[in-house]
Amino acid sequence: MSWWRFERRWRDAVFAALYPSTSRRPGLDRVALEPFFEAFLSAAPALVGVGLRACVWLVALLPPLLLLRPCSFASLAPDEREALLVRAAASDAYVLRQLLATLKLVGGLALAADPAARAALVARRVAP
Amino acid sequence: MSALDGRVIQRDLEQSCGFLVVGSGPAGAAAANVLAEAGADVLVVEEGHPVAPQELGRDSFFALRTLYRGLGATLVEGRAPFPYVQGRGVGGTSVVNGAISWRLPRDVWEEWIAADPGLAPHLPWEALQEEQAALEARLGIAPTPSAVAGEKNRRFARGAEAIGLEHRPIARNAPGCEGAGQCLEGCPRGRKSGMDRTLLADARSAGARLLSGVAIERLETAGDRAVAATGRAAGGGRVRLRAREGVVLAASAIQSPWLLLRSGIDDGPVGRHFQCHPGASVGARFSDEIRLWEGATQGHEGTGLRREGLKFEVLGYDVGLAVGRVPGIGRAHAAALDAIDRHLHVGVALRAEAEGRVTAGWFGGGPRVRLDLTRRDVGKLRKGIAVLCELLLAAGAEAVFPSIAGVPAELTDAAAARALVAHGPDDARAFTMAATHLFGTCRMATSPERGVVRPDLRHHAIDRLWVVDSSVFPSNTGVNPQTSLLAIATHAARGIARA
Repeated sequence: MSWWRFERRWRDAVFAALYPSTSRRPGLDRVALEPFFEAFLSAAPALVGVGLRACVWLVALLPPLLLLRPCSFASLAPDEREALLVRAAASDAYVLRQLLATLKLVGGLALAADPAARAALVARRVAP
Repeated sequence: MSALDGRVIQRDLEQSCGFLVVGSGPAGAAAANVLAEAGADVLVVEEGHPVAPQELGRDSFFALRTLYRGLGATLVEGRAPFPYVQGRGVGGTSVVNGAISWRLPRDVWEEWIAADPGLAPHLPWEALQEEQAALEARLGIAPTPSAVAGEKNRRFARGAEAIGLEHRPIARNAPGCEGAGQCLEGCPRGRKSGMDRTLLADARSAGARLLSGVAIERLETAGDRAVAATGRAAGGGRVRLRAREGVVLAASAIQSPWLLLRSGIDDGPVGRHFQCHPGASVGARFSDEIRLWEGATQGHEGTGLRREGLKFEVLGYDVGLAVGRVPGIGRAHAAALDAIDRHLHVGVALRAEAEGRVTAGWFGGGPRVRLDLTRRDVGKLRKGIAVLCELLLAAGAEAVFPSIAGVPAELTDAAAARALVAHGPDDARAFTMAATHLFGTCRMATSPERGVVRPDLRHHAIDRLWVVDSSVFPSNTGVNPQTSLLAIATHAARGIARA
């Protein structure tokens, strides 16, 4: 099942915050995520697909829970998004920690599936 | 030597054979090979697809989609859920594992025999050694040559030496390995002796037929005898496979009990006594290049604490899996990623005492697996992580990353690492784990109350039905089970051929 438009916006905001670009390589803020997630959902067991969406929803709806602010993750400023993710990753709540770990793993797959990001990650700094 | 791909089966299909072998991984390939060489009419049915050479050695996301069950995200449920990893394709997990080869340890065999002396006549130590020696020759099993080890394996060896942990190059079924570091994505150089290239190929040369892309969903019995299996082809057609001589179940310690339960064959402790080797990884950052994606995927191991239930291995994987394991979030993580070529990941595999259960799942769905580690298991895991932290620091790491909730993300001194043993958390939910090597859910035992199959791997209640995969192991082994599994399946298949 494809992503709804608002879900896509939430998803892209979450993964962009998890994997920002650096001067050396593109991050998920500069990678087209739609092809990756289409492939992901078509290959994943139904429960994993549902789980991924649930992870995105939970993060998207964290601001009211952790910041007591009636807004979604996507409407936060970049610094606030990152601070929220750091807080969630260090949470005492097992579910929150696992949720972040799962999103990080999935984001890593997406990042390395992008040829430019992958090439930059494995590039040698100095000749062997 | 015929093969049929289930992707082209769109209508109902019925086939007949002598022995139907369900699963083409190590156990199925070994059994099919023995039976076919003995002249039997063998049909091997496999849920996954044949792996084309161009599909091997690509990025981890591609491999997870094409070569792994459920995207590698199948889950052991419980208080602290963790994924278990299984390959799916012709050749099973042997196509995507690290090619690590261990004989069944003598102490584990002695435990099994002590617990059930009736196993001894059917599992004689000398016969197992002979089978294993022959398999080692066939699969080209040898210690990882230093020329292809790569920096990650050399660094691990240096650290193990420094802390006095017994260690050695890992014996692997990868003759002619070129150190591509892509075992887990399927060797792109064709150097791994996976079943697709060895025992299954041998079986097919001896006349065994292969039907891939067909998921078996049910076993059929007539009276108390196994007579057929039914399932669905990837092309959509229903498939019924009649077995005149019998059915050999080799679908893994998850799928075999699930199939039995789905089929109403619930005699004995089927699905119970599930065991595995949960593992945790520790990362480290060095001041110079490691490039963990280069060199033999898993080329060096620490064996000094094996009898305590801890085995240490270098971990090598595609950069796509590595990036998610680098600590940090957002920009801190991004900065760390820019130095990922200086990271090394190593793992500890735990011989967990915990036993769980495989059940048939809800509404006719897939198997459900549940296991909760014991407090002692968690203590051992903590010790394993502490040893790895110390090892990596002794190898020259600037910092190590134990990945334990409630513990600093980075440690830089050995004393802090050692303190994890006594002061680390004892809640399994503090750890990030994954499991490989699955056992025990159709275990062999002399009595039908204690086991699902007899010591010769015949089902206790159903005639002409055998289970030969690692579900028959009476316990986990603490070491990589492929070679011992091959030997046990081969040995049992010789008995089936004579029966």
